[in-house]
Amino acid sequence: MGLKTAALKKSIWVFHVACSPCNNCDIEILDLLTPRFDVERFGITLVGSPRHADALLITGVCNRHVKPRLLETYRATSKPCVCFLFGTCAAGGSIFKGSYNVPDFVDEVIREEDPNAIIVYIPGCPPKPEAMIAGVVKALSVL
Amino acid sequence: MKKTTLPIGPFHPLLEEPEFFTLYLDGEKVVKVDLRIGYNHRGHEKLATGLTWDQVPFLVERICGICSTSHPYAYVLAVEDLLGIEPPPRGKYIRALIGEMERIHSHLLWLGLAGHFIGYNTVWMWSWRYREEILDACEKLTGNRNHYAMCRVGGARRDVSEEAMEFTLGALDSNWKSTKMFLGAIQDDPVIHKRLKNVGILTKEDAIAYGAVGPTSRPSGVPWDIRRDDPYDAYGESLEAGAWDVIVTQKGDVYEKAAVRVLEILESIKLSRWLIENMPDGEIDAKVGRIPEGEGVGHHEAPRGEVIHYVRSDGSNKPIRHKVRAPTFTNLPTYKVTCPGETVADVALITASIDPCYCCTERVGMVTKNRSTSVTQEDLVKLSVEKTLEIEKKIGKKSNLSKI
Amino acid sequence: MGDEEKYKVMEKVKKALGDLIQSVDQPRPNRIYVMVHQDDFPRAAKIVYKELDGRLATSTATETRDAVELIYHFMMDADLVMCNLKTLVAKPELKVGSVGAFLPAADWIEREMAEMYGVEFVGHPDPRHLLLPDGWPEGNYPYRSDYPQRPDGFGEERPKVY
Repeated sequence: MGLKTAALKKSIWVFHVACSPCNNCDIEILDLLTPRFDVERFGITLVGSPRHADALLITGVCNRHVKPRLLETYRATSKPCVCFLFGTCAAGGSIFKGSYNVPDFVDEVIREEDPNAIIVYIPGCPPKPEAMIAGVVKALSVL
Repeated sequence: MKKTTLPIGPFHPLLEEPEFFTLYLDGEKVVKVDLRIGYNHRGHEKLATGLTWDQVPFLVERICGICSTSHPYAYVLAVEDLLGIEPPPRGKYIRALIGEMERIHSHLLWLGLAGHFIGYNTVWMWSWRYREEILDACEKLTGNRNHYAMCRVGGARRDVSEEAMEFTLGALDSNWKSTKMFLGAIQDDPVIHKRLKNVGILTKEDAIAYGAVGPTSRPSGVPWDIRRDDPYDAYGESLEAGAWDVIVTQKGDVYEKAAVRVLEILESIKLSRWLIENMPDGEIDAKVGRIPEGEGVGHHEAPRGEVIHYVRSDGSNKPIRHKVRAPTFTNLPTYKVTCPGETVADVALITASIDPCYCCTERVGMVTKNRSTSVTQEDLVKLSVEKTLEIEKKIGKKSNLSKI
Repeated sequence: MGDEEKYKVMEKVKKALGDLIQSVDQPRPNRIYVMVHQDDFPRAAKIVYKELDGRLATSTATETRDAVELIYHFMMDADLVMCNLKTLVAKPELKVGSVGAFLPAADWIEREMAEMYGVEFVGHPDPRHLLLPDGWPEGNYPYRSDYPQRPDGFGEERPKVY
């Protein structure tokens, strides 16, 4: 897919974006850094700013208040970047379909902004840390 | 040296939003605090009126991920209050056991985050590693690490097997030893004493006026605990049998909030052991039919305090009103009294000490005399760690913090 | 505490609130429901808070045909009984005295009830939006029964068919 995307494959730096989650997926993401799963040995680390990030980890269903902030974060990330949608809430809205404060889902919001965005869906409530690692590896091997 | 610039969930590390946790400063001291929430509002109460009575526990479980069984627990207690029934004994014990396992892993999670805020990342890594054993036990008991879905109107939804309970006893034993180690570490370390004592004091009068609940008010001398005061399920019997006790201290600073939580882990381990050893046989579910007209209030002691749910029925198969109040809702406004008078470096600790379930501290705005700047979560953590380094230098202790 | 002692708490509540009570009921030993008139409501809440040592756990607003019913759940921890204070706030004016003016525990919950149901709490120190996003249009109260269950937009357009 080009030199730039091939450069994403090793030792990706990720920025964690929590758009109105229930925090379960976020805790499981932090669990990946703890001694049992320890993804830092692969060079994957969380960064403090989207401008340094290769990938965005998005959790939660995006409500009205957070939607403009999510778009700003996406614009600030240097392209090409991969958007990982962790959890059923980000991947498809889960049980919050139709709530008055949840107009669109995360992938619609991102595609509206950038129709060529690279989006990876990892469903689960919450997805087990093993599932997250498997999803990330599968996605990167296809890129 | 490893760079520790980790944004911490459940905090939202988003950029570019307005100051919503605004601190008004005079020099380095905080004078006033202003809060803005709403980033997590998904409309649960309206959604619940469109679901049947049996579908609502799945919806309310997803209000919060860490205290995930507290909300269905309070909801089923509210409906059982409406009906005036009680579940059979085995169902009561199963629900109480899951509630206590959740309390243990939630407090261990908090311990890790508090360690990270002071700058002791080893505490973070170790406490979350010991937490994994409890999550394994929960997976054997219920099938999932979180979001257990064990509560149903009238009892428990699934039974627990003998092997799962044996495995849990082993996990509890090993957790007892590691928690004792953490308790010793907190009691012996002079840096932690200097850092946490007399910081963010919540007085007894303020705790009562703001209606603070749980481990936010118990360190201030306010002895409320729903498990003892309005007993439900297996808590009344176990208290009479001496299996556990309520931990109350007097001063109300961050050190005592930490100590109360660690001691509560030990009490929960004792109670879980008692529940497993005395688990009765029999049915787990009182088969509930139609829900008649009426209203009911149910409350449960979650890891963070009292969760209270209110339901109203008009005889149909859906609730016409369902009200949810999580404990952080009443604990958050106490910032208005605990933060003023403290320095900015302590703000991260004080915000963490009430254990907010969803956290609104992704962006803090500082308003000084002439300009206003915004700082991120990481800057606050950095300030907090620098203060710890200064204290270590003063005491003359060799620093074992990872450099930033 | 045995059940008989909890039933005695009803007498205590009746004595403290006196004439303000319109109706009172104790369907289970640990739940008391008291109905007062909307004009007496802040005074009754102050009595329960100060004289009966009630802790305000939370408050609920429900919509009925002609009014919005407010229920303030006070937990009397020493007596181990929950005293639920109710009132009916008549539509369409929807005005009632604020308890948050003297009780900090009622501050946030009254802001939420105001933005979700449109009830005005007279004398509230800080009546801003609590949970709804910036730019939410005035007059749109999401928890009212005339606000559609699955709206598209802010409730003006027809809902999508799923």
